Amino acid sequence: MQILGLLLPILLGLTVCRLIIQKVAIPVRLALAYSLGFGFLTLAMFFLNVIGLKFSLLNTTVLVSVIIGILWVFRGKRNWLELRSTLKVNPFAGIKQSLISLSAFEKVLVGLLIFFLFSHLVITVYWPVVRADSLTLYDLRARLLFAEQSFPGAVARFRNQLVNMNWTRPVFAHAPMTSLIHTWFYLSGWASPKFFYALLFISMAILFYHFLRIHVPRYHALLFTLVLVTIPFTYVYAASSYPHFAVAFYFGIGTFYLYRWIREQKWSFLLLSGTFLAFSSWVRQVSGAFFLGYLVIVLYVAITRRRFLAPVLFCALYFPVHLLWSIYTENVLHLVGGIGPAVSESLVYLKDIRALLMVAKWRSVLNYLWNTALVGFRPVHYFLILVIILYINRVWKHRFLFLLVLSNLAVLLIGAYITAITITGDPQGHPSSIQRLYIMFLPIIWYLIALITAEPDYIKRATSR
Amino acid sequence: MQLSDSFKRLFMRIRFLAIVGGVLLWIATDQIVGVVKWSLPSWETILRNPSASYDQRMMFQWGTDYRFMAFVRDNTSPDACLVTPPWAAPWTNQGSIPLLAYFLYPRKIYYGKGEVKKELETDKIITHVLVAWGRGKPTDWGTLGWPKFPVIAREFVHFPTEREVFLADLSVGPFSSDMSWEALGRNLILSLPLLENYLSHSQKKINEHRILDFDSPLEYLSLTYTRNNYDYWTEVVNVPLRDKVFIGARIKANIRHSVNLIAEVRYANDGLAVFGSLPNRTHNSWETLSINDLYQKAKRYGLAKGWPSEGMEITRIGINPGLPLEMPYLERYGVMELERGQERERELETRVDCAPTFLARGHFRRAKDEIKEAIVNYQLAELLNPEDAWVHFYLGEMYWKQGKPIRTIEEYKKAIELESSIAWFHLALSEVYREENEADLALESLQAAVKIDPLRGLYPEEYLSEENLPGE
Repeated sequence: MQILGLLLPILLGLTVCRLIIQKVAIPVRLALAYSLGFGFLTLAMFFLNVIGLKFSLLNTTVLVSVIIGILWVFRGKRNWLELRSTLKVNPFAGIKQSLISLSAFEKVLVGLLIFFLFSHLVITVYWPVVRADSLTLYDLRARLLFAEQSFPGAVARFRNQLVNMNWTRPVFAHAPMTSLIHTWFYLSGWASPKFFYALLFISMAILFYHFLRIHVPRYHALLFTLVLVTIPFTYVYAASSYPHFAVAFYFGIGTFYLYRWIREQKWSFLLLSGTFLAFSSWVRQVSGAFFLGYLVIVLYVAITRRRFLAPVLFCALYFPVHLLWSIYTENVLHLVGGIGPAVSESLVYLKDIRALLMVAKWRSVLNYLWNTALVGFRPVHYFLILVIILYINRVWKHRFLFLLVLSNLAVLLIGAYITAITITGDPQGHPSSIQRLYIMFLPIIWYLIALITAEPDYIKRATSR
Repeated sequence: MQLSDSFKRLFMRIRFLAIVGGVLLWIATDQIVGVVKWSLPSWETILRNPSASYDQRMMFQWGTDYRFMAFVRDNTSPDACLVTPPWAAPWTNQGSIPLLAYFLYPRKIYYGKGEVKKELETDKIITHVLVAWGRGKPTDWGTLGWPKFPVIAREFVHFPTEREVFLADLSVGPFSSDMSWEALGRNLILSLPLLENYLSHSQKKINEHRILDFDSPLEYLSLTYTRNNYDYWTEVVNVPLRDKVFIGARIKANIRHSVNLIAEVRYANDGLAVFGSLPNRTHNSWETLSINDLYQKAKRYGLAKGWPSEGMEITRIGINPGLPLEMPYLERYGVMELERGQERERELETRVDCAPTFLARGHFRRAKDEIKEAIVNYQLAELLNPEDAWVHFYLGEMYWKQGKPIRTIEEYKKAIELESSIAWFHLALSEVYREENEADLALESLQAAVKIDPLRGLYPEEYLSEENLPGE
């Protein structure tokens, strides 16, 4: 049963992945299938709940199997041909070939990567869900969902458990994806859902390497993948079953696909981008404002390159998932308000332009971010600034990626400013919340740094090909 | 032109090497060090305990907080409803609503706030009260220890606590110079047979029980309790009970208020009753405990029970090292099951009358709202162990329920006289004074309570005006 719990989402992901994107290496396909599969699985569980059915192991397995079956029928013969050709390929031969061709430096990097990923896997799987917030919010909800196999049932059970206190909103207002994944693991007989996070971390490393390798030499891709894997903050959060790493994963991969779409204009990349960004919002609803920044860039690209359907598709993928949870909690669970403000709410503040022009306030917010909240990320910022100065000529080449990074940082700054003038009244917010949020941007920032610092000879060769 | 090109190439090479070198250096010195530092303790635990259970792994991370939750989980039924400490320092974890909901699921959680003491009596859904010391340095005694109010418990299961008792010079003797009595007392000391575990209503493990041969021989007991009510360790004596007889011993215990002296009296009708002394007042130092007026006590008790006072005999003397600790120095972690009048008439029947049984019967009757019967039982408990402050307090509460303020005040004052360091006694007295329109006395008692235990959550809101709080 445990194997089914792991294989079913991967199979679902593989099937969806095949529909969208064809030619990718097996590890990349598996990483995509794993992350997409679990996302779609949780949506399937949610819709079972919406139509009044319990998301039991049986019901979910039947629904997901039907979806997989329909998608296979939809693709017809091509499935079998692809499956046969995939089975014919000996992956070990390719791996052996790659290992032999590695330089000594690359071997060291690969060794370090394997060591840190393995260590992460062991540590993550060894410890149960132990961190306070992951226990009391996401896993507590998962336990309730596991017992009731429906959201209204879980809410009722929780209300009943707390006799003289209402704590339902703080537990149930957060987007449900990671809790549903935990629930799925429990339903399939796993004692702990932490394996999901360990594999997601490995998927992150594979996909980051894959996206880098398209543009940069192997050693450079390996080096920066090692940078990403060994960021202590990400490493710890990925092992702690907090949703912040999952957000970083889905948001980061969504951004990489968006950048690929901007460069290559293939619809499949935009589809994947929208889907991954939507899942980032299904994990935590914080990505809304950052999505708006991306939308502006997509609109610009769509207009200049006459891809007018692109913004529509982009929004159509993102917003239904983003709004799903808010609508459900408000209308079915009757939990008024959310943990993060809705996207529309953030627009309200733009009305009063005077409020946005308080220079002293801006300065204090910047000061707070730089000296307190993001002090641990200073080296990343120094690198970014240094790289931009030293490689100013190459920034233009990756201007859209640069703009994506810039839009994220700008939205973060505006968000901190709005929080300072509205909620807290001063910029001294909760530094650890900002740090956790900032994990989202680290893969993207390092991706930008890696791309613009790649060896020029290689870039010439890559562009001339 | 060539020179400019080569400069350009050199610059690009240096720039590239600087960035890659910088990244490498940063990974090696900052990132890898950070990750390894974080991973090492985990690896140490993993290698030492590769097959640790879920509970063990949680305990490695959460320590006492998890041990406590697991203990409560293992000692309560899934349909229990538990009153928890307030979610504030020092109970940030032990009072955390979501943490409790997670670890104690599916048990119901009743948040301990405000008037929870009253709700314990009125809201019958509540079945248990958590006992939680809290976390942090006990710089402020008043902020530690939950519950802060008296709980009418049917059973109290707590973390294992080791009690060590040293006993010397256990003797029966008269105040008079009757030589035969003195000889008897001396004999008892010198022979020093090991006490036997006579009657017990406790859950314990006997770690050690032996004679230590110092200048004079001592009896040493090391016991680990997880449930206390009474645990009588006695020696058979069979001496007639006369006026001015006293029982005495020197005792040293590692915990304050954990042991007292006991004597069993047999009446002519074969009725048996156990009388107790005050408990030890200090820890880790020798003190003399005694029952000075055993004859009068036994006579009074006989009268109350309708037993003859002639021909009384001391059959056993010994100690009770299983005395339940009292608030505010209660066991640090545990769970109390509330007395709700659960069916247990037979359980409370014993062949020997003793104060803890009458106390339990009093609680039982009280829970059934049979106040008169409760008073009778509390009074019998008081006759057997008049030095127990809580018996007086409970009696006071019952008189208050009967609308007898004067007797209530009398009993509360007796309780305070015996245990002046319990804030709740002062607070309860203050409430009675307030109801009786004795504002000055009410304020005086309230101030005494606040001085002992400054935790504001204890006190009714209307009491907490600035002028009522000393030194605020």
